[in-house]
Amino acid sequence: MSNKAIPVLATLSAIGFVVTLWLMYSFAPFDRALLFNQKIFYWHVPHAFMLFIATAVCGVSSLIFLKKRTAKWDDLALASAEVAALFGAAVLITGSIWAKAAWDIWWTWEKRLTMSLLLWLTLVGIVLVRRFAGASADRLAAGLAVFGTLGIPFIYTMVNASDHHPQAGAGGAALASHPDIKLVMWLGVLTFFLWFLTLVMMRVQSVAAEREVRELREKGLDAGVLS
Amino acid sequence: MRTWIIVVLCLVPALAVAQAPPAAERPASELRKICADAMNADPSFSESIIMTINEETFRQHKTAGDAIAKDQKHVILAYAALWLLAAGFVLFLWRRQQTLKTEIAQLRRDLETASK
Repeated sequence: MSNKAIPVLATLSAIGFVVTLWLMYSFAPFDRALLFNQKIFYWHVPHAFMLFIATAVCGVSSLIFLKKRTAKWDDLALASAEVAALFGAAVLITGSIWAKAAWDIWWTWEKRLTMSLLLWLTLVGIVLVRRFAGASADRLAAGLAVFGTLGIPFIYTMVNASDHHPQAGAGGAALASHPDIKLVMWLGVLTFFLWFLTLVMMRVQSVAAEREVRELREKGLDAGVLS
Repeated sequence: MRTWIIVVLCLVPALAVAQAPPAAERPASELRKICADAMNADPSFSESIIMTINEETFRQHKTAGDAIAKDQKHVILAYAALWLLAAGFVLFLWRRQQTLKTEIAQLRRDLETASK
Protein backbone atom coordinates (compact mmCIF):
# COMPACT_ATOMS: atom_id res chain seq x y z
CA MET A 1 0.00 0.00 0.00
CA SER A 2 2.77 2.37 1.06
CA ASN A 3 4.75 2.06 -2.15
CA LYS A 4 1.81 3.25 -4.25
CA ALA A 5 0.47 5.77 -1.75
CA ILE A 6 3.73 7.68 -1.21
CA PRO A 7 4.03 9.19 -4.73
CA VAL A 8 0.31 10.04 -4.74
CA LEU A 9 0.51 11.76 -1.35
CA ALA A 10 3.73 13.54 -2.30
CA THR A 11 2.14 14.84 -5.51
CA LEU A 12 -0.97 16.05 -3.67
CA SER A 13 1.26 17.75 -1.08
CA ALA A 14 3.23 19.49 -3.83
CA ILE A 15 0.01 20.76 -5.42
CA GLY A 16 -1.15 21.90 -1.99
CA PHE A 17 2.12 23.80 -1.40
CA VAL A 18 1.77 25.71 -4.67
CA VAL A 19 -1.93 26.50 -4.18
CA THR A 20 -1.42 27.59 -0.55
CA LEU A 21 1.51 29.78 -1.52
CA TRP A 22 -0.49 31.41 -4.29
CA LEU A 23 -3.54 31.94 -2.07
CA MET A 24 -1.60 33.41 0.84
CA TYR A 25 -0.12 36.07 -1.45
CA SER A 26 -3.02 36.82 -3.73
CA PHE A 27 -6.19 35.87 -1.87
CA ALA A 28 -5.71 36.17 1.90
CA PRO A 29 -6.24 39.73 3.20
CA PHE A 30 -3.34 41.83 4.39
CA ASP A 31 -3.01 41.84 8.18
CA ARG A 32 -2.59 45.46 9.27
CA ALA A 33 -1.45 44.55 12.78
CA LEU A 34 1.24 41.98 11.98
CA LEU A 35 1.92 43.37 8.49
CA PHE A 36 3.56 41.31 5.78
CA ASN A 37 5.28 39.01 8.26
CA GLN A 38 1.88 37.53 9.06
CA LYS A 39 2.33 35.39 5.92
CA ILE A 40 4.63 33.14 7.99
CA PHE A 41 1.50 32.19 9.92
CA TYR A 42 0.09 30.13 7.02
CA TRP A 43 2.88 27.56 7.27
CA HIS A 44 3.97 28.04 10.88
CA VAL A 45 0.58 27.08 12.34
CA PRO A 46 0.09 23.97 10.13
CA HIS A 47 3.55 22.82 11.21
CA ALA A 48 2.49 23.24 14.85
CA PHE A 49 -0.64 21.15 14.17
CA MET A 50 1.50 18.47 12.52
CA LEU A 51 3.86 18.53 15.50
CA PHE A 52 0.90 17.76 17.75
CA ILE A 53 -0.51 15.09 15.43
CA ALA A 54 2.87 13.39 14.91
CA THR A 55 3.56 13.42 18.65
CA ALA A 56 0.11 12.01 19.38
CA VAL A 57 0.60 9.26 16.77
CA CYS A 58 3.98 8.48 18.33
CA GLY A 59 2.48 8.38 21.84
CA VAL A 60 -0.50 6.21 20.92
CA SER A 61 1.53 3.76 18.82
CA SER A 62 4.10 3.56 21.63
CA LEU A 63 1.35 2.78 24.10
CA ILE A 64 0.01 0.04 21.82
CA PHE A 65 3.53 -1.29 21.33
CA LEU A 66 4.08 -1.46 25.09
CA LYS A 67 0.89 -3.47 25.38
CA LYS A 68 1.17 -5.76 22.31
CA ARG A 69 4.92 -5.68 21.56
CA THR A 70 4.21 -5.76 17.83
CA ALA A 71 6.95 -4.57 15.45
CA LYS A 72 4.68 -2.51 13.20
CA TRP A 73 3.61 -0.25 16.10
CA ASP A 74 7.22 0.17 17.10
CA ASP A 75 8.11 1.15 13.52
CA LEU A 76 5.27 3.66 13.43
CA ALA A 77 6.30 5.12 16.80
CA LEU A 78 9.90 5.64 15.68
CA ALA A 79 8.90 7.06 12.29
CA SER A 80 6.40 9.50 13.77
CA ALA A 81 8.86 10.54 16.49
CA GLU A 82 11.41 11.52 13.87
CA VAL A 83 8.83 13.33 11.76
CA ALA A 84 7.51 15.08 14.89
CA ALA A 85 11.05 16.21 15.71
CA LEU A 86 11.32 17.57 12.17
CA PHE A 87 8.04 19.48 12.43
CA GLY A 88 8.99 20.67 15.91
CA ALA A 89 12.24 22.11 14.60
CA ALA A 90 10.28 23.83 11.83
CA VAL A 91 7.82 25.33 14.33
CA LEU A 92 10.58 26.63 16.59
CA ILE A 93 12.63 28.08 13.74
CA THR A 94 9.74 29.76 11.90
CA GLY A 95 8.26 31.00 15.18
CA SER A 96 11.59 32.49 16.13
CA ILE A 97 11.96 34.23 12.77
CA TRP A 98 8.42 35.56 13.04
CA ALA A 99 9.08 36.85 16.55
CA LYS A 100 12.18 38.64 15.32
CA ALA A 101 10.23 40.21 12.47
CA ALA A 102 7.23 41.22 14.56
CA TRP A 103 8.72 42.03 17.97
CA ASP A 104 12.45 42.28 17.26
CA ILE A 105 13.30 39.38 19.56
CA TRP A 106 14.45 35.88 18.59
CA TRP A 107 13.50 34.07 21.77
CA THR A 108 11.97 34.63 25.17
CA TRP A 109 11.66 32.14 28.02
CA GLU A 110 7.91 32.41 28.38
CA LYS A 111 5.83 29.32 29.25
CA ARG A 112 4.56 28.50 25.77
CA LEU A 113 7.94 28.65 24.07
CA THR A 114 9.69 26.82 26.88
CA MET A 115 7.10 24.02 26.81
CA SER A 116 7.40 23.74 23.02
CA LEU A 117 11.18 23.51 23.34
CA LEU A 118 10.82 20.83 26.04
CA LEU A 119 8.48 18.81 23.81
CA TRP A 120 10.97 19.06 20.95
CA LEU A 121 13.84 18.00 23.23
CA THR A 122 11.76 15.03 24.38
CA LEU A 123 11.24 14.00 20.74
CA VAL A 124 14.94 14.35 20.02
CA GLY A 125 15.52 12.30 23.18
CA ILE A 126 13.29 9.52 21.83
CA VAL A 127 15.26 9.41 18.57
CA LEU A 128 18.58 9.36 20.45
CA VAL A 129 17.39 6.65 22.83
CA ARG A 130 16.35 4.52 19.85
CA ARG A 131 19.78 4.93 18.35
CA PHE A 132 22.04 4.52 21.35
CA ALA A 133 20.19 2.81 24.21
CA GLY A 134 20.84 -0.77 23.11
CA ALA A 135 18.53 -3.75 23.52
CA SER A 136 15.81 -2.10 25.59
CA ALA A 137 15.75 1.07 23.44
CA ASP A 138 12.29 0.38 21.99
CA ARG A 139 10.63 0.17 25.42
CA LEU A 140 12.53 3.11 26.86
CA ALA A 141 11.64 5.25 23.84
CA ALA A 142 7.99 4.13 24.03
CA GLY A 143 7.78 5.23 27.67
CA LEU A 144 9.37 8.55 26.83
CA ALA A 145 6.93 9.03 23.93
CA VAL A 146 3.90 8.48 26.17
CA PHE A 147 5.35 10.99 28.63
CA GLY A 148 6.03 13.51 25.83
CA THR A 149 2.49 13.23 24.47
CA LEU A 150 1.13 14.49 27.77
CA GLY A 151 2.72 17.88 27.02
CA ILE A 152 0.52 18.56 23.98
CA PRO A 153 -2.62 19.77 25.82
CA PHE A 154 -0.51 22.08 27.99
CA ILE A 155 1.15 23.74 25.00
CA TYR A 156 -2.16 24.05 23.14
CA THR A 157 -3.84 25.64 26.16
CA MET A 158 -0.94 28.03 26.72
CA VAL A 159 -0.91 29.20 23.12
CA ASN A 160 -4.62 29.97 23.27
CA ALA A 161 -4.38 31.61 26.69
CA SER A 162 -1.29 33.68 25.91
CA ASP A 163 -1.65 37.43 25.58
CA HIS A 164 1.47 37.66 23.49
CA HIS A 165 1.09 34.86 20.99
CA PRO A 166 -0.68 35.84 17.75
CA GLN A 167 -3.90 33.92 17.40
CA ALA A 168 -5.46 32.45 14.28
CA GLY A 169 -5.79 35.28 11.82
CA ALA A 170 -3.84 37.56 14.17
CA GLY A 171 -4.34 41.26 13.64
CA GLY A 172 -6.87 41.60 16.44
CA ALA A 173 -10.52 40.74 16.58
CA ALA A 174 -11.41 42.16 13.18
CA LEU A 175 -9.27 39.72 11.24
CA ALA A 176 -9.29 36.85 13.71
CA SER A 177 -12.43 35.37 12.25
CA HIS A 178 -11.85 36.43 8.66
CA PRO A 179 -13.05 33.50 6.54
CA ASP A 180 -10.37 33.95 3.86
CA ILE A 181 -7.56 33.75 6.41
CA LYS A 182 -9.11 30.65 7.94
CA LEU A 183 -9.63 29.05 4.54
CA VAL A 184 -5.97 29.47 3.55
CA MET A 185 -4.79 28.31 6.97
CA TRP A 186 -6.89 25.13 6.86
CA LEU A 187 -5.74 24.44 3.33
CA GLY A 188 -2.21 24.69 4.70
CA VAL A 189 -3.12 22.26 7.47
CA LEU A 190 -4.50 19.79 4.91
CA THR A 191 -1.42 20.17 2.73
CA PHE A 192 0.97 19.55 5.59
CA PHE A 193 -1.12 16.65 6.83
CA LEU A 194 -0.60 15.00 3.45
CA TRP A 195 3.10 15.86 3.71
CA PHE A 196 3.19 14.39 7.22
CA LEU A 197 1.63 11.14 5.92
CA THR A 198 4.16 11.04 3.08
CA LEU A 199 7.12 11.43 5.42
CA VAL A 200 5.82 8.94 7.98
CA MET A 201 5.19 6.32 5.29
CA MET A 202 8.65 6.88 3.82
CA ARG A 203 10.23 6.56 7.24
CA VAL A 204 8.18 3.47 8.13
CA GLN A 205 9.48 1.83 4.94
CA SER A 206 12.98 2.76 5.95
CA VAL A 207 12.54 1.44 9.50
CA ALA A 208 11.09 -1.80 8.12
CA ALA A 209 14.12 -2.13 5.81
CA GLU A 210 16.44 -1.59 8.80
CA ARG A 211 14.61 -4.36 10.61
CA GLU A 212 14.97 -6.66 7.60
CA VAL A 213 18.72 -5.98 7.50
CA ARG A 214 19.01 -6.90 11.18
CA GLU A 215 17.04 -10.12 10.64
CA LEU A 216 19.09 -11.10 7.58
CA ARG A 217 22.30 -10.45 9.50
CA GLU A 218 21.10 -12.66 12.34
CA LYS A 219 20.30 -15.38 9.80
CA GLY A 220 23.71 -14.95 8.24
CA LEU A 221 25.38 -15.19 11.63
CA ASP A 222 23.38 -18.28 12.51
CA ALA A 223 24.26 -19.86 9.15
CA GLY A 224 27.91 -18.94 9.58
CA VAL A 225 27.91 -16.85 6.40
CA LEU A 226 28.70 -13.63 8.28
CA SER A 227 31.25 -13.18 10.95
CA MET B 1 21.91 125.83 21.71
CA ARG B 2 18.79 125.50 19.60
CA THR B 3 20.57 122.94 17.43
CA TRP B 4 21.40 120.81 20.49
CA ILE B 5 17.80 120.91 21.64
CA ILE B 6 16.65 119.64 18.22
CA VAL B 7 19.26 116.86 18.22
CA VAL B 8 18.28 115.71 21.72
CA LEU B 9 14.59 115.80 20.85
CA CYS B 10 15.24 113.58 17.81
CA LEU B 11 17.59 111.16 19.55
CA VAL B 12 15.52 110.47 22.65
CA PRO B 13 12.55 108.97 20.79
CA ALA B 14 14.96 107.03 18.51
CA LEU B 15 16.73 105.56 21.56
CA ALA B 16 13.39 104.81 23.18
CA VAL B 17 12.22 102.89 20.09
CA ALA B 18 15.55 101.03 19.84
CA GLN B 19 15.45 99.95 23.49
CA ALA B 20 11.73 99.19 23.61
CA PRO B 21 10.85 95.53 24.45
CA PRO B 22 9.73 93.40 21.47
CA ALA B 23 6.05 93.41 20.71
CA ALA B 24 4.18 90.57 22.45
CA GLU B 25 3.61 87.46 20.24
CA ARG B 26 0.19 87.24 18.82
CA PRO B 27 -1.98 84.50 20.27
CA ALA B 28 -2.51 81.33 18.20
CA SER B 29 -6.18 82.03 17.73
CA GLU B 30 -5.37 85.38 16.17
CA LEU B 31 -2.75 83.80 13.84
CA ARG B 32 -5.25 81.11 12.93
CA LYS B 33 -7.81 83.76 12.08
CA ILE B 34 -5.30 85.70 9.98
CA CYS B 35 -4.37 82.49 8.13
CA ALA B 36 -7.99 81.52 7.58
CA ASP B 37 -8.78 85.02 6.29
CA ALA B 38 -5.80 84.86 3.95
CA MET B 39 -6.87 81.43 2.69
CA ASN B 40 -10.43 82.63 2.16
CA ALA B 41 -9.22 85.72 0.39
CA ASP B 42 -6.86 83.84 -1.94
CA PRO B 43 -7.99 80.35 -3.14
CA SER B 44 -4.59 79.59 -4.70
CA PHE B 45 -2.89 80.19 -1.31
CA SER B 46 -5.39 77.81 0.28
CA GLU B 47 -4.76 75.11 -2.35
CA SER B 48 -0.99 75.36 -2.01
CA ILE B 49 -1.22 74.80 1.77
CA ILE B 50 -3.53 71.80 1.35
CA MET B 51 -1.22 70.30 -1.30
CA THR B 52 1.81 70.67 0.96
CA ILE B 53 0.04 68.89 3.81
CA ASN B 54 -1.27 66.15 1.53
CA GLU B 55 2.10 65.58 -0.07
CA GLU B 56 3.72 65.18 3.34
CA THR B 57 1.00 62.79 4.52
CA PHE B 58 1.17 60.85 1.27
CA ARG B 59 4.96 60.65 1.51
CA GLN B 60 4.76 59.29 5.06
CA HIS B 61 2.16 56.69 4.08
CA LYS B 62 4.13 55.67 1.03
CA THR B 63 7.32 55.29 3.04
CA ALA B 64 5.51 53.10 5.60
CA GLY B 65 3.78 51.10 2.84
CA ASP B 66 7.03 50.53 1.00
CA ALA B 67 8.73 49.42 4.20
CA ILE B 68 5.95 46.89 4.81
CA ALA B 69 5.84 45.70 1.22
CA LYS B 70 9.60 45.31 1.05
CA ASP B 71 9.89 43.53 4.38
CA GLN B 72 9.83 40.10 2.79
CA LYS B 73 13.17 39.10 4.24
CA HIS B 74 11.82 37.29 7.28
CA VAL B 75 9.04 35.55 5.34
CA ILE B 76 11.52 34.27 2.78
CA LEU B 77 13.92 33.28 5.56
CA ALA B 78 11.17 31.27 7.31
CA TYR B 79 10.12 29.50 4.11
CA ALA B 80 13.73 28.77 3.20
CA ALA B 81 14.28 27.22 6.64
CA LEU B 82 11.19 25.01 6.18
CA TRP B 83 12.28 23.84 2.76
CA LEU B 84 15.84 23.20 3.86
CA LEU B 85 14.63 21.08 6.76
CA ALA B 86 12.20 19.13 4.58
CA ALA B 87 14.70 18.67 1.76
CA GLY B 88 17.39 17.55 4.21
CA PHE B 89 15.08 14.98 5.78
CA VAL B 90 13.89 13.62 2.42
CA LEU B 91 17.48 13.40 1.18
CA PHE B 92 18.46 11.58 4.37
CA LEU B 93 15.57 9.11 3.92
CA TRP B 94 16.31 8.54 0.25
CA ARG B 95 20.03 7.89 0.81
CA ARG B 96 19.29 5.66 3.79
CA GLN B 97 16.75 3.69 1.76
CA GLN B 98 19.21 3.22 -1.11
CA THR B 99 21.90 1.99 1.27
CA LEU B 100 19.47 -0.41 2.95
CA LYS B 101 18.25 -1.78 -0.40
CA THR B 102 21.81 -2.49 -1.47
CA GLU B 103 22.60 -4.06 1.89
CA ILE B 104 19.48 -6.26 1.80
CA ALA B 105 20.26 -7.43 -1.73
CA GLN B 106 23.85 -8.27 -0.74
CA LEU B 107 22.78 -10.16 2.39
CA ARG B 108 20.21 -12.17 0.42
CA ARG B 109 22.79 -13.07 -2.19
CA ASP B 110 25.22 -14.17 0.53
CA LEU B 111 22.57 -16.29 2.22
CA GLU B 112 21.48 -17.89 -1.08
CA THR B 113 25.08 -18.65 -1.99
CA ALA B 114 25.64 -20.20 1.42
CA SER B 115 22.52 -22.35 1.22
CA LYS B 116 23.53 -23.87 -2.17
